Amino acid sequence: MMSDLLLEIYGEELPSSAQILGERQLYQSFLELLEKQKIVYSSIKTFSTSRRISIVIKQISKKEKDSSVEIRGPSTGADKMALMGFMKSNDINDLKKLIKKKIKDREYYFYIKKLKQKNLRDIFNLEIPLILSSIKWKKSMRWAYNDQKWSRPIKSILGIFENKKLAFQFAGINCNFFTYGNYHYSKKKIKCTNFEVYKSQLKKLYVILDPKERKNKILDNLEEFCRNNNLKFTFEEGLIERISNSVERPNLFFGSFDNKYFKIPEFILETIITEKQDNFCFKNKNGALSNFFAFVSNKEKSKKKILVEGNLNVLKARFLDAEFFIKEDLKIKPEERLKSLSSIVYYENLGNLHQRSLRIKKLSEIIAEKLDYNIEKFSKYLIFSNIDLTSEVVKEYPSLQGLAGGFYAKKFGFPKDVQEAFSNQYKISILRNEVDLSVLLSLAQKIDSIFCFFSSQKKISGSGDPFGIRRISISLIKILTENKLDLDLLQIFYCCQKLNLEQRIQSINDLELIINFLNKRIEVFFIDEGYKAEVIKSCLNLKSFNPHLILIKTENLTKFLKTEIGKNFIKAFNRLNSIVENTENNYELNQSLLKKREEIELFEIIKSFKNKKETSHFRIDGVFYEKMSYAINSFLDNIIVNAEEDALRINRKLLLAECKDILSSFFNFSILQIDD
Amino acid sequence: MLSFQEIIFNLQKFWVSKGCLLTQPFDMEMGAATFHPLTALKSLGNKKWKSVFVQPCRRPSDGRYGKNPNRLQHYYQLQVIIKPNPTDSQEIYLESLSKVGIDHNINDIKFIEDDWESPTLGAAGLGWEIQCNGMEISQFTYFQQVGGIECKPVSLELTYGLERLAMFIQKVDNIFDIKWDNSGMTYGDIFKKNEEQMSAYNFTYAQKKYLFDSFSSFDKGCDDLIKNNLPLPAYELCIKASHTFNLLDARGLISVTERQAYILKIRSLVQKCCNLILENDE
Repeated sequence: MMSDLLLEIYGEELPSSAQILGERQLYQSFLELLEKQKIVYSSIKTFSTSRRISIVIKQISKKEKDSSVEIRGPSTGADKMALMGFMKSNDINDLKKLIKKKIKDREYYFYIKKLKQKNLRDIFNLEIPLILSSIKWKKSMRWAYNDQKWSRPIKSILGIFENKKLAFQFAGINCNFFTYGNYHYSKKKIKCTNFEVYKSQLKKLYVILDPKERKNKILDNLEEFCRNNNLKFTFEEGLIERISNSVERPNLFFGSFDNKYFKIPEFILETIITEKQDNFCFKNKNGALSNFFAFVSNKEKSKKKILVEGNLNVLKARFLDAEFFIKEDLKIKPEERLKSLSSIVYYENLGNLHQRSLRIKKLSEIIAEKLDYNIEKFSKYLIFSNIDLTSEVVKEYPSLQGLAGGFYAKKFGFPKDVQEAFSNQYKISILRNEVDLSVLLSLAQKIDSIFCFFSSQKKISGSGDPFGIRRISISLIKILTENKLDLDLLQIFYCCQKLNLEQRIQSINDLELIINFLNKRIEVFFIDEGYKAEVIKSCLNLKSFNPHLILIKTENLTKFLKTEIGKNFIKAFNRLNSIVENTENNYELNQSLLKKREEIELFEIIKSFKNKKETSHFRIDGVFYEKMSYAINSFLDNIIVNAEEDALRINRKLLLAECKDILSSFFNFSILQIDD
Repeated sequence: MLSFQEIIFNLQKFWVSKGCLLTQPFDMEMGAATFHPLTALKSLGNKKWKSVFVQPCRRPSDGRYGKNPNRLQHYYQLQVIIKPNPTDSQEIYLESLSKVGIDHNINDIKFIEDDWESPTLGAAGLGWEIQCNGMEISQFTYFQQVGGIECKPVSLELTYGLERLAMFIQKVDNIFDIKWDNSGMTYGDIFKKNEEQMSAYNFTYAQKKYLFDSFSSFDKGCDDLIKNNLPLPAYELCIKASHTFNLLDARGLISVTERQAYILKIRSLVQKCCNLILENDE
């Protein structure tokens, strides 16, 4: 008898993401159960297809055998009633089952109680339903009267341990030893008493249990097709996963569409084939889109004709749709589109999309000036950056926003830089050797989005990001840091306020709210890049927001804190900080009262710190900070701050306060801790 | 080959044989059959319900002036609603397809993940878009929530896109070539002119002021009716508000960012109607 556990939840079509998530959580939950119950096993493996998730655990046994415990009863000299009571409470019917033992000159009755280990079968019957109900799906559902949740309705549960079926219930379904093959081929119920039978029967009934095996089968077929037709294929990982998880056994089908559809731009064709239809597309050796497409089905190859014809018809219908959209779009001149933007409200009280286009144009010019870029020759085109928003193409394929703008800019004969900038404006990342129009427009567009979102007084709550503001902020930070652009966004937000005022639309007064929000975003972004939260935080303030500088500060401070000088400085600063908590206001530092060497030294070093150039502070000069640590420590070691004489005490406290203030003006050292 | 009307007959007959009441369309413009009170409102509460009906639907922004072979601003959905959902829902659905000549052993019927949501109805469900050889022919949804209220028990909503289904069955590439009956009458004969003119109305001539004014009066009227404990007429005004919103959208009068506010407005009204209906039922 094999001591293997096999569990399969079989049901209606599971989304691809649910298969991945379900498998992972099932695996993790069983690992925890085995650990908790001290169960040993030789292997554990999970599987999934579009209709099932399963797990097999082999050669299971309990680490611990049965044990026993000694229970002390009354003393042998005690009253008979006490003995009777002891025997009754421990379910002992015979005095012979007791033994006598002496403890400290006194003899007692003892009962050796055997503790039976919980039976593995009982454990599984009890724990499996708990595991199944603990899975956290992205989205889950109830069905009929059932209250328990799963990704999609369950039809049957197979649960076998040691070749016999388990006895638990989940979602109103009793577990049994039946499963089903690929229902496109057979509706037969199959009885399984072990994993080997399960696997081989399913294989015969057109089910490939292992997701990797299905994926590789598809990839092999795609590669072979490419070799034979001199093509390349590229795809995003999500697409192949989605496709291979949409079936129980993949068969690949290939088709081709008429070249006449190439009058539609490739980026639209590609979006239709991959995003709308979940099909694969191919590129020629020169990188151009080929007219071949491929899709996956459970059906056997003999159905090729009907399947390819059907799928091709759908593609053709969608291409015709796109062609119609483009034709309609091109009937409207850019100037007319601009007018139609005027009738579209952006946010309530924040004007219309035409006004937004004007702001973006002006912001691009303002940023261009700050970044020393001559934008003049392109200025007149910038007002059209948003006109694709009213196009039919964007209404139908929202992911093509921007790309469609670039395409239409070309059709309207706009310069190449302008076409590219329109295409790139929504991209998350734009890496350039030097500032160009794409970078500028992209920044302006994102800055206006953030500023207007806050001006609209809408709030972002929880993890949701309905207006995409978190995503836009991260992208803004990314573009500024990747391209090393020295730009203080607070200054730009002041310009935004002026622009909104000129347009007589609502505007946010308290810019700290935006800076605070962006500070949180940059913190998240830099943490992902590997920096420590407290280090990032100590480089942030509310008086400016310059991601490029913040990155330099964070890099330098990270390095500094790894050095001995850095560690010593933080210790010295923390000493200083603990004293300077309540400064006495209304007094000014009196230099003539500084008499002792340590006082004068500290004063002098503060003065030299003030005289340094602002940018030099970001580099964190080790030699200087070493001197600073020495000056602080000497002062605190040798000078009595709480001097009896009022004037002296106040003056010393003021000196320390000034030292702290000046040191904190570039980095907030007070939140840093040193790990020894 | 089955005509358009025979497809409707066969599906209705099939679902009636499965115990569904054959009910009739609702006399208001709506974007989807789900808005029909016999779907949206009957899925609330715990009383059993089984019904099949055809509902004309209007999606103004889908108008193509009758020039696109695959798109209409006015079309038909055949809807089945069963509460609680049967345990063999998928099998019964596949059986229904065989009644209109689609054999799932020959054709590739795929259940593609589709987390259905009607933001204006505050309704959500899980299920699939059903594709036949790549073409979407139905929506299959297990209702989890309507009007923001949990559905207990869960209803099954099946929606057949009748034109898509007919194009597939009749093997025609153009909606307007669908044979309505066997005498030679086509879909285009009946609806082509309607598509041309209604597209012009939806995109160009629908009056901006009238639409904005109507929306606010439906909004206000609905609130008044709710205050007077009249959730059924109040719900009708939600349907009207929703269609008005769709027209505003088609006219391009609402920005992407402002759409959300309109949707929320309708949703909160629907929610109030649903709560009131349930309260009155208790």
